[in-house]
Amino acid sequence: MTRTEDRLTDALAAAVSGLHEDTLRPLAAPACRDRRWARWLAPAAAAAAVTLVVSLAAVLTGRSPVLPGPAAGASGVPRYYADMDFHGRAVVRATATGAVTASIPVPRIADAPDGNITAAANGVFFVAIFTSQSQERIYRFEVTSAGKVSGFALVPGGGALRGQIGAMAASADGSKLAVAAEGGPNAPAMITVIDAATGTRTVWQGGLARRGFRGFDISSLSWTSDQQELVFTAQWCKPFEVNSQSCENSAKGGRRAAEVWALNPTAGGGRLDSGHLLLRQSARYPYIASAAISPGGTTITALVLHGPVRVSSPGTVPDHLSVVQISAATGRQLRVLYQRPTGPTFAWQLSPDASARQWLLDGVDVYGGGDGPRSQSKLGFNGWIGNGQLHQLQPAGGYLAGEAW
Amino acid sequence: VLFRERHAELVRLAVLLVGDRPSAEDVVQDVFARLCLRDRLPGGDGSLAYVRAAVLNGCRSALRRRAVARRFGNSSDPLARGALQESAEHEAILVEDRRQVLAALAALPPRRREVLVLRYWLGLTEAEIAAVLGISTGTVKSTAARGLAALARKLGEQS
Repeated sequence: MTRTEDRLTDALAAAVSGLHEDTLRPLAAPACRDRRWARWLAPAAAAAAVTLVVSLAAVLTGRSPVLPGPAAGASGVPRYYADMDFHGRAVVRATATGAVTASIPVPRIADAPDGNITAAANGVFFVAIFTSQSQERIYRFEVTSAGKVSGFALVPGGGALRGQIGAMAASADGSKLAVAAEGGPNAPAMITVIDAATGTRTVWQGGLARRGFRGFDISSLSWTSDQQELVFTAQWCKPFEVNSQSCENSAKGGRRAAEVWALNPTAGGGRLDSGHLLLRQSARYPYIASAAISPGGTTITALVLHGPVRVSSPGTVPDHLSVVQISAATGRQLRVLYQRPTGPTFAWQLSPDASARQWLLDGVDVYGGGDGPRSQSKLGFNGWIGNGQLHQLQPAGGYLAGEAW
Repeated sequence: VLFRERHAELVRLAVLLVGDRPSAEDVVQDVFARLCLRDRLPGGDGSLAYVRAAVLNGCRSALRRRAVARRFGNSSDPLARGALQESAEHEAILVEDRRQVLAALAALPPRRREVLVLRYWLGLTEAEIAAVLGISTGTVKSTAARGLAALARKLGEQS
């Protein structure tokens, strides 16, 4: 054995030498009722429903029962979505069934695979991979009408981005990509817009410090279709240095604030407050966790937290969330798309499709974010919003590496 | 029976990978509950490898959850703090040299860390590690070599 091997063997043995069998928490056996059939019930019902709808459509229209396009299904719901799995793969799944249609082993640089994923129209996806050097790399790929992947490549200008990307959004045509790097004590959060063809980067940073708050972050990004507005959600948090959607800890005097701002992405960079304020938190919208602008720039869709706060991990959170649509011009609430208790979830992600008519919603519980079947994330949720309901994605369970479609 | 016989070993394995005992016990409990519900433990020699693989997957999930939590402001991550920590009492027992080694180990990519723990703590052969991780023995060999080399570099040694 080399000296390294000797030291490793010794250290490993010492690390667990104090762990004695009689001190272990006893294993608790669950009630082992055989309910394996039940696991197939929901997917089978979903598949049957899809088959029925497609068949009816075929009968009524006289067309063959083939769902159109790489993105949109018969009901307008995108046929495929992509996310990152634990093994560092970008995985494409059928929205209706969760069946994997393609997976890409994204080049692994980091200690732990950690990613963020977003999509443009026409089946173009971007995925950011966190590296162990506290940097990110961004790749792009396309999803075909058959759910297969092509054109996987590093985005020009998408290497060695500083900091951890907390939000990412592609312009509708996929030519521009906006990323928000999370802030810290010595590096405030910033937005970088990357020209996906030339690799040119434009940076917006600073200008949004708020007295009394230590943490500042950018939780969401979105574009208008004409690329004249880049909209972001700014969040402030106390007492945490790095913001989180659950940063508030009222028991310790913590508080949070959020605003929705619009930048002119053609302005060539500058301060984050160089644009204009679209929406501020208020009694009606006590905390804006995430927001996105519609392609036409007329409507803001916001994920708003409200209600009494409850203890969660790692802080406290209001006990309800609503997805609401608000007029960008007047601030008037237009409609509520969906609402539910936050339950044990502590972080959320709202992702539009290219039309901003279909929405993916994730809520992550303290157990969420696992790999493979997300059976351990029993208390989180993920799905798409339709008719006031959340239609469960398969596999189930909230996961903030981010589904995108 | 296998689970109860190997309970301590599995928790120790998980401790070495996730860095703290409560998480390790949670991982093993979750795997136990899941396998019980699914009732699909293979028989024979494969069952132990299967259970170890399930615990490794559980550890990866736990680390993944931490990455998500870290993204949202929770920094209570033992591995992120740079060392495997058992308890204040136990921490005191670990001499500085061991702490350095464990911190360096914790900084390795998960696959390398897993291979080194299986090799140098459980004493598994390359074939056994390959069975647990579902990779080839060649990959085990190269991963271990790279892991040791990285560890030696981090510790300022000649590999």
